[in-house]
Amino acid sequence: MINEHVTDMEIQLFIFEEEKCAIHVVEHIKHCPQCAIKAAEYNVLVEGIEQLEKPAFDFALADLVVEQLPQPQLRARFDSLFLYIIAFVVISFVATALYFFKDTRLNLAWKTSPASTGLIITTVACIGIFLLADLFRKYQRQMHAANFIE
Amino acid sequence: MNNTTENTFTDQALVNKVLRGHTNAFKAIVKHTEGLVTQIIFKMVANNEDRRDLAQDVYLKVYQKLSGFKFKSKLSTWVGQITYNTCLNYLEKKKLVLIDEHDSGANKQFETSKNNTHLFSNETEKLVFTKELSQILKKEIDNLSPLYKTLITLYHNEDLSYSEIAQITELPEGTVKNYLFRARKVLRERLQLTYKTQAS
Ligand SMILES: [Zn+2]
Repeated sequence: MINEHVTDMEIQLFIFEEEKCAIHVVEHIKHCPQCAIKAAEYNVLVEGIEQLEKPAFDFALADLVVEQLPQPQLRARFDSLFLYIIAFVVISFVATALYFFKDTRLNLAWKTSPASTGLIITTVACIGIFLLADLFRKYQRQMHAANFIE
Repeated sequence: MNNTTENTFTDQALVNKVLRGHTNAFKAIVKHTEGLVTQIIFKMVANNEDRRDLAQDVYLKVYQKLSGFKFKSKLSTWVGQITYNTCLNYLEKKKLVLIDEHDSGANKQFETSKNNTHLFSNETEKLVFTKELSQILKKEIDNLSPLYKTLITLYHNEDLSYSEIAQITELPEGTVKNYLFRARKVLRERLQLTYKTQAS
């Protein structure tokens, strides 16, 4: 005659970690129809859980994530190095030019031909615009990444 | 080479590639872990739009923090931890509970009638019940608290060990076991009630 049924926790232990289950619990479940049914219910429950369909997004997560990644750090570091080199070259060029032509620079507009003046102005302007555009793009990209992560 | 060493080796190779700027390696990481990430997000968060945003958030965080990954766990466990924390922050922001009061303690209603309520009375009934089970079960799992749903899924669907679940949720292993025990108990009791109601 069985007086004390085993607890719910002991039944779960019997089902999920039988090796940790005390012998008297195993014996009880084997001989008590009520506790055996409870144990069988846990078995069915787990079987049911394992058979449930796994959830999935209705879009390609990997593709979407990769599209939104900030530029790789290595590339970013290379970009800034490149930017610094260009800035250095431009500043050196302007400084050297100013030094060599310091005596004549007041008359520069009259002494050089209009074509070379135009060429110099255009080149400097183009480099300037390129640098500014690149800085702006980088700034936007970093702001976008920061917003996303916050 | 055992499985863990092999995993660490693959993880390390992938992480190094990503750090050298290979986006395809990161894509491989996403593909390798998205099953787990999706499970956690779907169990912790009910809103579909938010799930989508959170999934992207998780992987951007993974990307940002990747250089700090110390290989003390599997990469997938670490990604799971970031996912769980991201969802936890979301629940806090939305003032949603992680464990519902109805799920936390033993249910008195069931305690009093425990001896005469069973899902089936003998082994032959088992097959009939299994067909109905997935529908009722799916609904009842959805009704569980976010944490309980997540633990049940990580243990029974993702086949993670107690220790891996403890790492992901940053809960002591004993607490994980205890919550899992309660979650299964609540689920069994609710199934009994739903099944009984439907049968009568
Ligand atoms: Zn018994």
